[in-house]
Amino acid sequence: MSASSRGGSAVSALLRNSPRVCSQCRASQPPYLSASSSSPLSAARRFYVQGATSASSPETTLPSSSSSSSLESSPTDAAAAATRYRIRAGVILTRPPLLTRELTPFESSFFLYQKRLNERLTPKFRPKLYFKTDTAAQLDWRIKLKERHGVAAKDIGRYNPRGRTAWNDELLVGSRTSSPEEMYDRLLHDAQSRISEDGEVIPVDELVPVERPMPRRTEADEKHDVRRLDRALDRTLYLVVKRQLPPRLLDGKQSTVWVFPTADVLTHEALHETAARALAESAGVNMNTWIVGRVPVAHYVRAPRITHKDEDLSLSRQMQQQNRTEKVFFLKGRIMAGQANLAGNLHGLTDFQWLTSDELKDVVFPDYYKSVENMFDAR
Amino acid sequence: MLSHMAALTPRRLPAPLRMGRNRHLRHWTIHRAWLLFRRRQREARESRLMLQHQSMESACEALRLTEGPGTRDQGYLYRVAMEKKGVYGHHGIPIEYARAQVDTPPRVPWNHDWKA
Amino acid sequence: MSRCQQVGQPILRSIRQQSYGYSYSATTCSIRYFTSTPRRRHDGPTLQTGSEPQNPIEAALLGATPLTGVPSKAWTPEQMASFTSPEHGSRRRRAAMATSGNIPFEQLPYQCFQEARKILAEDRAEKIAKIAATMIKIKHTESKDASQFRGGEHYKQKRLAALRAYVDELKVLADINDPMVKRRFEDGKGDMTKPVYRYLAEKKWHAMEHKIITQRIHQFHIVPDILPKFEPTVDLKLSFRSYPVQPGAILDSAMTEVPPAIRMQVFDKGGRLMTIAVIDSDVPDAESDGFKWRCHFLAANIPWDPTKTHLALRHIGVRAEGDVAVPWLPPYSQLGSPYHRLSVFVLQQKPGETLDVAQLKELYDGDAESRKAFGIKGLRDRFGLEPVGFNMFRTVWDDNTAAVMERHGIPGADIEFRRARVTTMKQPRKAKGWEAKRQKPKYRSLWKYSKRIA
Repeated sequence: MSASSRGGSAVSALLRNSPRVCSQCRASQPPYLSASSSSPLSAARRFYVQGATSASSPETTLPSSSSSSSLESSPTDAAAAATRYRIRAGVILTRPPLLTRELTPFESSFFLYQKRLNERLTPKFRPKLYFKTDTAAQLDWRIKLKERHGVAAKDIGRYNPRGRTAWNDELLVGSRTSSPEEMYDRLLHDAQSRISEDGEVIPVDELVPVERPMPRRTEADEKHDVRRLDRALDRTLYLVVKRQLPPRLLDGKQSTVWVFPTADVLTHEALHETAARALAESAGVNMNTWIVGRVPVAHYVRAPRITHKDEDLSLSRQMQQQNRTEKVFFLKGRIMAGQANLAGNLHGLTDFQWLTSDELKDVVFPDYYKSVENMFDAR
Repeated sequence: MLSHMAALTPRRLPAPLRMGRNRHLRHWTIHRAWLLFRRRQREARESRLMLQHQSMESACEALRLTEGPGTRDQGYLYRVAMEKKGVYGHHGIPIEYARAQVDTPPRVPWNHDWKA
Repeated sequence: MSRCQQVGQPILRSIRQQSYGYSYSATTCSIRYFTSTPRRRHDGPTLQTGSEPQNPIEAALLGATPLTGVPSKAWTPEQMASFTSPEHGSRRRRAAMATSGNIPFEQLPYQCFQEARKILAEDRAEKIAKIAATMIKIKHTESKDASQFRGGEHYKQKRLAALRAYVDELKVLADINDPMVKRRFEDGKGDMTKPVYRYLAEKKWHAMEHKIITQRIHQFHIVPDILPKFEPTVDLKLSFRSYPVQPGAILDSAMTEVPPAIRMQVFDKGGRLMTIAVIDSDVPDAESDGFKWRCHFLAANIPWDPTKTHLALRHIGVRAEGDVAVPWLPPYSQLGSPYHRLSVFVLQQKPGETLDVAQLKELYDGDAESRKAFGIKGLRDRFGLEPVGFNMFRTVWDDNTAAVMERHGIPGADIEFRRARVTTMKQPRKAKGWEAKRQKPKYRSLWKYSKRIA
């Protein structure tokens, strides 16, 4: 909103001689409430806004003793509000990526290109500074340097920045010299010690290979075991659980639904407490988790489900309660260690999965996905 | 030692790069592509952050207009969520959160047997 | 082994070394089209890999066999042989010529280069998709009736102009990263009908020449002497007798006897009509003890567009289109007058309007007095012109001025301007000092010793 339009709304608020309420609050207020601003109902509804107002503007028309009026009116109001919707809180438990992303082909080739240009511009490597003469280390260096065809750098392939063909530093299409796998191989090969402890040169067939780093794709990746947490290590994983739909809502197609762990917000609870409780009740306590902040990162509003069956019958109070609009607020959680365990869960959950955001799309309902997709990370 | 210091004198430093026309055009192409690549990465990251912020903001706005739970008035949950007590400072953030990303996984990528 | 083959060895070795694993297909580097301009003739499939035992790229890099299917300039055996001779430059250059001379630049099989081109081609495809979408939007907007817009016809036109400007911007962005565009522009072969070349030309002009012109406008007080406000948007350069001159240079009057040729580059698309005026803003005027203006040249209705660059002023109305209203009067500066600033202005006429040359002639092409009635501001206001281009030179009295004036029948070569002597209005001061005091009759006795003054 531009400054001028804000000024306009401020002036109109003054002219109407209504209490100073910010435009968002006013907009959110139902029209029947703004008609009689001194009614106890509205006093109760705008409790916290009015607290600020009475401090700043003494000419407000609202009663100054807001606490007493809100106390009087609360039972009826609460009854009305309680039937309006059901508040639930959930936790979107994430396992952050453990690995960096893979380099694109352009990046890896660009890095090698820059490394070779750098070789052309920096002074020569001086082994005498690093290796004392007639030591095992120097002998080791010499052997390895000879194997690399006299190139001091270990990761630029066969390229001599000082020679006659120093200009020829560009790699040709199809070369694997710039690929990270190839670079690992070369570094590992280079890390082998070529000199034994007693100063003898080790023959090539007796070399002790250096232990390789673990592959980026794990066993769980290969098996596509979606319950394991050591899969898709360069992506964020999200915990979803499978819930049985109540029999009333069965439409014949689907009897279960994948959701994030949620629970009803109790009267004495704040959202983050409910989120922690929901997680513990659903997936057990054997997870080292942390609820990030207290602010919801996404929310999902489910309209009341009215089936043809229900319309005919006069619904019992219990059914009405079940059929209210549902507001679900999601908090973000992080898992640092441990694993979900559904044994003895209180929500009738039968299964769980750790999924990436792409896989989630195929599993949960489209509108459910749409309401949370903005909180997902890029990978 | 003196000879090593001499290695750093300007005389021993390699000459600046000189490129032919085609080579320079190739270099220019690569440079432009790199700038473009970085720009696209940056913009993707910014737009993702913006989406995340908008998601939070709309959730908070919905929370502010929510009454309850039970007999609580409108915006109660929002006010509680906005409290910052204990969010920052000592023990605000667990130490395990500082795990850095690496290129290859450890021998045991994940501790599944962690017990409370 | 010839020397160029020796030099090519490292490339070959690196291919052999790295040939396992990836199966290199030369098609990857030949199917990517990058430029918008048509490429060299490309007929038939690109390559038959695997039919020969040796990789064709390897062979081509060594210059042994030309790459089949790749559009190529075939070297004759004599040319190939000449690449080994030192007269072709460095060893590196010879190797480059022999090994990659017949592979088009865009297909040079360098890994990082090809990966970079993929990134750029992807970006270009995105931009072209955006252009197509915007064009559809423009068509849609054009087909809508003006009453459907909140602001009516004015709003519709504004919207269309904004969309077209966006398309132009996208066209620039689509081609700006193309190395062939850069090369063509650097070679001066850019097609100025295309937005990207105009954009590059404007950027280049702004890098230095525009700065110089702006400096001249300020340091010679063109603003506010001639025009109250002026910002050049067109690149204008002068040359006399085919010698290019720097803006603001003091030129010999023999050189400026003939009208100059101009080099002009406009940076916005479309044709328009131009008016060219040359004005001397430092004509001394003895009666009013000040300076006046004088028109030295005026021509109107000169058609111009971004592809035109060159025009000799003496060809206007003869070999080039346009109407001369005031023919060239050689600039001259009489003895004693300070340097004269000769400003060349290019003014853009309103779209679709031509100026009435008869009226211009009547106004400005008469005796010396009517030439002196000329002013750029008056011209601009009277005919609705917009000054867009500017350049200037200076002239002073020199050895050739008298001859030039005589040849062109200009009177006044014998006049020398001098500063009028300013006499003081004060009373003459009385003599003071010891001597002056002793001049009085009272000191008559001392007269024989003191000096006689006054």
